Amino acid sequence: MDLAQFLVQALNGVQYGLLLFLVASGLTLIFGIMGIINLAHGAFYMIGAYLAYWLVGLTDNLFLAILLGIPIAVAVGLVIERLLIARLYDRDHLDQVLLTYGLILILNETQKILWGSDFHGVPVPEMLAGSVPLTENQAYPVYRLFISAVCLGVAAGMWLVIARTRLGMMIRAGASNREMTSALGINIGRVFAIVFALGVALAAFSGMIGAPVSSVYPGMGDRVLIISFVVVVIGGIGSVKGAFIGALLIGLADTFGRVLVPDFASMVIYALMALVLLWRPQGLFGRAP
Amino acid sequence: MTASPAPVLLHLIALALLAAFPWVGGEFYVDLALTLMILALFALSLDLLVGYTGLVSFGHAAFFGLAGYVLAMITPETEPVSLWAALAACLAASAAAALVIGWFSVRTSGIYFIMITLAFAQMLYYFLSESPAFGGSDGLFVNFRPVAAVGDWLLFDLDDPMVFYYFVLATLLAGYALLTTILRAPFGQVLQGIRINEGRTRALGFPTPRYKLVSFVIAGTLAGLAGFLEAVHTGYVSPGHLSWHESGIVLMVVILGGRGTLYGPVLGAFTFGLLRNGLQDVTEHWILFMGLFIVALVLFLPGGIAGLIRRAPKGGSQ
Amino acid sequence: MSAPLLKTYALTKRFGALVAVDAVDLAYDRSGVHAVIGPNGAGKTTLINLLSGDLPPSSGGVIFRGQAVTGAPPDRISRLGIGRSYQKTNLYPSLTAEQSCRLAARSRRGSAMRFFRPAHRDRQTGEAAVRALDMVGLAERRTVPCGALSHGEQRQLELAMILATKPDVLLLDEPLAGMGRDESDRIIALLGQLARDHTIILVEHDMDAVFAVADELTVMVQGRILDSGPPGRVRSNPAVQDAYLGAGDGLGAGDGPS
Repeated sequence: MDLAQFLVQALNGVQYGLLLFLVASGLTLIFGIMGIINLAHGAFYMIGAYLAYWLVGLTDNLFLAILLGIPIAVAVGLVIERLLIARLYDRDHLDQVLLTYGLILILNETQKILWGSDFHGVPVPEMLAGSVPLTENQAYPVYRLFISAVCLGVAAGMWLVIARTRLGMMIRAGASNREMTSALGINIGRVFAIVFALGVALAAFSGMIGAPVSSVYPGMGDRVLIISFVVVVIGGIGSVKGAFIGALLIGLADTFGRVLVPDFASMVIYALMALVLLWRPQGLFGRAP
Repeated sequence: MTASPAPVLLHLIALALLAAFPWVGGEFYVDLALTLMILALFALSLDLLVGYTGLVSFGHAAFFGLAGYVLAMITPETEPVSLWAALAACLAASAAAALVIGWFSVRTSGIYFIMITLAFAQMLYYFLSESPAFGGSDGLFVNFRPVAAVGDWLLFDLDDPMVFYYFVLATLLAGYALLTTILRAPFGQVLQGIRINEGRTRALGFPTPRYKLVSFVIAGTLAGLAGFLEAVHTGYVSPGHLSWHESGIVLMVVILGGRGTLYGPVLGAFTFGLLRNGLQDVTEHWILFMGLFIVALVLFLPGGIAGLIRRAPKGGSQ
Repeated sequence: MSAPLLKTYALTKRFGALVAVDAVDLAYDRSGVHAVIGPNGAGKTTLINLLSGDLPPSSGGVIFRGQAVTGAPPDRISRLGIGRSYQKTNLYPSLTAEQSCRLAARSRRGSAMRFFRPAHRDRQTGEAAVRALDMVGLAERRTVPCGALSHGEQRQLELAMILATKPDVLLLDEPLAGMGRDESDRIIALLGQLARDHTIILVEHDMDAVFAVADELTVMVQGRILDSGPPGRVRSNPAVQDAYLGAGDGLGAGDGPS
């Protein structure tokens, strides 16, 4: 692998990692703040991708599709939160796992009813369709750089929220529900709804912005969900910083794994997870139990 | 602290029904009953973890599927393999996998345990589905059912549908009896202590991680036994056998029947199987209704069917 | 002179900037009640947690029977013969009192990695369980689920479960809290008996009880040992008096038995 190839793979790995971070950060926040283990999180990524496919078909513009699509995804998420997730706050993890597993089946099948079982592509927006030359015979697609830049922007925004707001302070402190209620002095139900909506928006947004590079297909949320789990476990459950580092690690490990050990590419990230857990069972930035 | 047994009479009736079924049921339903008995054994093995040890494993299908792969790999293309050798190899593989995965997993608890078991199962899933040696995503065929022979003497013939049916029923009974025994023994009492209050159990002098690991290995081995039967039954194994959907379904079966009882998972397997079959007859979108059913189960019937049975005799006094 | 049974050296536990237990040196003999008192937040429960293995110390160590047990997990500490009770009731709500004590007694019968013989056939654990329940006065209530016992009874059961593990050292974290007068008198008398051949480390707020049974008194303030020795002498130490008056928590000097 020469330097230019290495650079291309590194950029791909970072881009994939940053996209994963958007999904994983929602998962880790929903667990950290609400105490909910949400298996249906990947389904919102899928919903985002399908909304992008559908709305780009209607509007011919990815940015417009994203603007229209996020409110739709968030509305679906909020209905689910109020109707179902809100009943799980006092239940044990087993019930949460089972109910959100049922939700995956419902959402996956609904997707098939609405859009069928075919694979679809979403075109890269024209203004971002070009490539940046790296060397004489190596170029890098502008759209992937754009994804990385946007994800970094979102990550920076999250960092601001977490570093500067009272809610963020609570997140950093890993406060329990009750402590948070008394500290913020507001309706905890509303905080939970906001956090859940934020998580859904992040997942759907990454599904949308990632659609032009990943294609759109049934069950696409499942794999993203499981890899996000790996990210969250590596980073430490509830830690957004951990999710960021974990996502970049996984993104790079997966990308380089595909190049260096193509036969075992999908196993690399799980091996990485096992190594991290061997060293720190609570994850890189998790609190010791 | 003993496993609350449903009345002996009910057990006997259920056993009589299962034993008589191949004489009265049609071919399709006998085949379905086989599938569901195997699922029941699989669910029983998971209940040892979820219901009795307090460990929610979301990767239990790994051991189920792995045993099937081992059978497919050791069965030659042109002749059958010895039942005893095949059983030993399949169970050893599942036990070894459970030992490794369990060693990592039991040091964690709660949500970490759920996620880690899931992730390890996925690792095995991708390993089997991506290497051409294991047939990729198409899986592998088991060309012959194993032969149950001692020397040259054929003990029983698994190719005979009747014989195979009773072989599966006997295995299910053996698994049920084994778990009943283990749970009444000191080991089982410690497991239940761990489920109710692990910290206290450790403070009383029990090295709880070791007990959890042994429980995990027993459960994985029994899941392997179920996976072995499944591969013999269908003559086929694919990555789907160890997908996380399979882990989700077996978890649902345990909850549907009632965790922490042994008859619950068996009832759950049959209820789920009949429901799935009924839905598949009615609509091609049966998965949607299965999802709705799971959601309703969690919201309205957290104790499962066993919970209903326990409540029923009290006649709504509470 | 024989070496002490249980000894700590420079035992320290920090939680972030807070030093909960600060360089504590203690030595306990093979028998007697050693009371540890001090205002809230003095580090008494943390000290118990360090001795029981529930928390690893930040520095320093614990020696039991001449052997370093620093950082050993709680199950090993328990098997070595150090049993503990919890300040906050910590039981098996769905098990009966007898089942709980049987489980406790089971841990002294070698490994419980026994898979086939039903546990209820083991006579020895059953007898040990009933004996322990009898000692604390719960024999009548043995078939009641722990969750249905009164608060005082739950405290008695806490003690019975430790006794069923036949420890040499008992770490008791406020065993009398929440008990009625009769129950509490019974337990104090029991502790007096046990003290003949057990080492009892007693954290307790009930000063009458402390002075009734303690052979030795240790006063902790802000993680440090202020004084340690015979109760009569320690009580009259002006620094101890100050610490208690300062904390608004009367030591009840002069109220003790003469």
